[in-house]
Amino acid sequence: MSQPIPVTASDWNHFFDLAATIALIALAIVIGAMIFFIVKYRNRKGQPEFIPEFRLSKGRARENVIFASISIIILVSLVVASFTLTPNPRFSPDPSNSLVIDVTAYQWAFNFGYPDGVTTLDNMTLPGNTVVMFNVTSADVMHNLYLIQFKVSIEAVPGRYNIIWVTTPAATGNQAYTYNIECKELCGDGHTFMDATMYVVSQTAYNQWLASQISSNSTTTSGG
Amino acid sequence: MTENYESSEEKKSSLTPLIIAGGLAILFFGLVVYIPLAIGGAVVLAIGVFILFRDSVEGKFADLKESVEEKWPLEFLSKRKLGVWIFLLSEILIFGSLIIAYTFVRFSSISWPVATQVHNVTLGMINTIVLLTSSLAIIFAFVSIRMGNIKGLKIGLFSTFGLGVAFLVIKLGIEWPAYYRNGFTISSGLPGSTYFVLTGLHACHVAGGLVAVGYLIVRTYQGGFTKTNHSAVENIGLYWHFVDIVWMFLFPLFYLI
Amino acid sequence: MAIAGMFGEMMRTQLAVPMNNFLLANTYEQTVTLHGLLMILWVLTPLGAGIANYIVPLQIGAKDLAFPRMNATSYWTYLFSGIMLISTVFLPGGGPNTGWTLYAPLNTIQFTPQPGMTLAVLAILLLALSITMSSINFLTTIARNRAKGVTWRRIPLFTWSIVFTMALALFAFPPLAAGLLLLSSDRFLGTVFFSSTQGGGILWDELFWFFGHPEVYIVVFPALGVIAEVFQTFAKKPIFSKNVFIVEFAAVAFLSMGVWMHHMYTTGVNYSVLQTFSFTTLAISVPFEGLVLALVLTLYKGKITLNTAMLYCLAAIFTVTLGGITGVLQAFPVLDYAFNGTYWIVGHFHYVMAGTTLFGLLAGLYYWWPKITKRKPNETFGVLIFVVAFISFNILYFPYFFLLGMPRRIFTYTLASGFASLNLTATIGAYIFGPAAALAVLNLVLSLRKPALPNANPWSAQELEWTQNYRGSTATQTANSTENVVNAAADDPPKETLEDRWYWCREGNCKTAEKPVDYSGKNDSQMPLRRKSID
Repeated sequence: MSQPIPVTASDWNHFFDLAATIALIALAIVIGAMIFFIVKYRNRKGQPEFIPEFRLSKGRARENVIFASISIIILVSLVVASFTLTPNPRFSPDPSNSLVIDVTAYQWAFNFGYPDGVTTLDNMTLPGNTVVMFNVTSADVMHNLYLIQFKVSIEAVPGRYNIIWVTTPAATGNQAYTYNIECKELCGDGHTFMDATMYVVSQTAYNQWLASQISSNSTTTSGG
Repeated sequence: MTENYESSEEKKSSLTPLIIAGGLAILFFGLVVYIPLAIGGAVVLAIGVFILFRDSVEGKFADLKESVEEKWPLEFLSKRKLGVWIFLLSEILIFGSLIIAYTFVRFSSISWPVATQVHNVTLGMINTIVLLTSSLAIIFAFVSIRMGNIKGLKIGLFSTFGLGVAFLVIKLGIEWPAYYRNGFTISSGLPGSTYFVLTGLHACHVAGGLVAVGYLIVRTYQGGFTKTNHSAVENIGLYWHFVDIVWMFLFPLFYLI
Repeated sequence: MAIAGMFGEMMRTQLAVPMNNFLLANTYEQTVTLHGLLMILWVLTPLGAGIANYIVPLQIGAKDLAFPRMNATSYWTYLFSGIMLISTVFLPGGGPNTGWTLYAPLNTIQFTPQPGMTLAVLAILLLALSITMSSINFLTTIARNRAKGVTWRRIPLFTWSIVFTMALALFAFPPLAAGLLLLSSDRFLGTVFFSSTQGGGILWDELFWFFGHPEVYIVVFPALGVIAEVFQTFAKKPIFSKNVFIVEFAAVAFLSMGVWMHHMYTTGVNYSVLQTFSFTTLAISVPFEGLVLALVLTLYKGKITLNTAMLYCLAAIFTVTLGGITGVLQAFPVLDYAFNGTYWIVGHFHYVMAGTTLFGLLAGLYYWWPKITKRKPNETFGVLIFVVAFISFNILYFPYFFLLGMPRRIFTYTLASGFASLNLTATIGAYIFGPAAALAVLNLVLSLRKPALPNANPWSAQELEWTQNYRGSTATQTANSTENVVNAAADDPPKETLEDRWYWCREGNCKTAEKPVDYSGKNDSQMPLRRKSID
């Protein structure tokens, strides 16, 4: 079953394609020019040996200014476009309207905290089509919460709460999508295996799951 | 090859770089691994520095004589003085980074002890005056030798040395033990950490400056300075003024605000 | 360098197959850390400085650097600090395992208790001292020890690149030293700079990256200078626009101190920081690309000889452009959120740092080998090794750009992740590239067996270190002449064209007066910077 690509990721992919295409065109121009010059102006055998006088070169400010202006225009427009996509300002939704998950990273796992005191370790379940706000911190060293398929990440810094938002793709009925989470900041020997899984289910399935967690919590002593 | 060198008693190579580098390396290695080794390293370093100074006092190691040079726009700066200024630039950056780090942690902190309650402002003020006077003393020394007055040079250098020692004695002998008795130590939290690290680094620079001033005194007695040949006094004076200026920043940052 | 390269090979071996157990977690992280530290700080930076040590005095007409003993001290300090760093693996607990970036609070005693880490911190501090001494030395030399006739405008481009390298080093290494000092005091004296939450990780990030970003330009600049020199000689043309080139260099150097927080986009900095630093990072790409274009346009209408040095330079242009555009892509925060900490970044910096610097400096060695040793390296082998090296370099690093989901510094991965085939490709590339690079150097060394060349300038190069023509000559050459330009009789009136008029130092035209140099210091101004009239 193919999973829906989250909105952040598809936007990311589109922007990346745009920027990378422009970049590759620039690369092609530069390297193409270089190879062209090499071939066209190579020293052919049979010509007399030419030893130039040492000359200082001309200023040529004009060409450089033209080139610089073109690149500045392209780059500025790209970066301004990119700001609408940057995860934080893109959403900046009202925390009271989004689902707030407290993420605590520690050596070497992620602990997820839901509303109503529910916590899970190493995996989290989220409702589809919801704006989720991750309130990320660390209990020991710096980690990085990387939602791979969403193409967003944020560092978990001890003593700070960093915030990132995503919108989960819609899920209905019995659909359950699995997304991977990894730690992207070296945090010690267990860094390689520090990952987690995100399950996106429909809203009803999420409510059921949350309710079952609460009830099982009330019957156990450890709260996570 | 003699004509390449300034003095006739040329020395084409010197062992001091190897000794100094080796001493530093052994010192650092020993600090981590085996403390007696660190002491050995410090000894080697001291020997290296001593040989360096002795060579210089005796005028043994000479510079290459360069041909007529392009010097624009710095014709008026001698080579050594330019080197000292560039060195001071890097020192400004290191103290600057530490001061910025201090500012960063202080403004990130919710609470910070009131300066006057934790620090002894009187002693700090005395130290400030001591250091300022020592800068004056070294200027006096420099002006004296410019006029050919060796006696004034000696008075100035000794005063600088004495005042520098007084600074260290007041700080390390009177002020810091009092802080430690009160519980304000280097590991007692960020205020203590920042204060002791920054002023400690400054004190190390003062101590290094004292070694340099000591070298100047020795060289004076060996007759190394004349009315026309005294650039070392000025260059070391520049360094001393820099150390003083750093204190001018540290004092208000820690003691007053 | 061999050791760092060996570490690189070990890392690729471990990553060759999924769930490999050649190097397990702690050891792998140590290998990563030491590979990074050694390569960046002990190999690439000093390699440029080492070539500069020989070539810069020749290019400006000095006999040696301004402070020869300090030069030697900085070399020995560098060597000993490198030995110290390598020795950390033999200490109990091993060496540093935090990655070359030594992030806090991972670098504190609590999380990395081994003494090897402390020793590594001190070793880097010692290296910072060494490089600071070097930079003082080079800057003073270039400012003061130039021969007559070598005005700032006439200084060859390699020396200009060293000017900017050393100026950046002067500004970049003190913050690193400051951070290392704070870290040492944390580890020795129990201070709480990096274990407290007010300081902690962000404080280290700021200090380290304020150093770290200029550092990567320090690594790359000498290579760019070499490329400029090689292109000028083998295309038999001057650089496309020397003034603009130098200005662009200065712009890159200056701006490089204002971009450091692009390494910190993901640390939760606020929006205005993201905006500012993405603008400055993109701003720096403009003069940088200008530099590359100026280099490429130097080839326009030249008479190009393709030999080993030239080929390495072409490769370096390719890697710097490819690495540079991936860097521009990383400048956008939205893209960087996914790139940061993955193998995309590893690919990016290996292209710019390993590719450009290594190829550029190899080109420099091949180019200046006749100057240094009076022997030409074997061209056939040189070109052959180059082809192998270049292809294997790309096999090694290009797959990294497709490993966006693979975090850095992990020592293995599962079969299910799909990383296996790309990793295996990279490892094969590594096994070829390492020996190829070694062979390239061996080729140079083997040339020493040949007899010395009679012609001291086999490339007919025109730059100052070859012709030693510091005053500027006026020898006229015809198109069929086979003589090298030598120091023609200085009393030939120079053939003055409009652009040349300022640069020939004849009697009365020089800015400096013709007097013997006064070493006594008596004419120095009392006020350290006030200009005193020359009497």
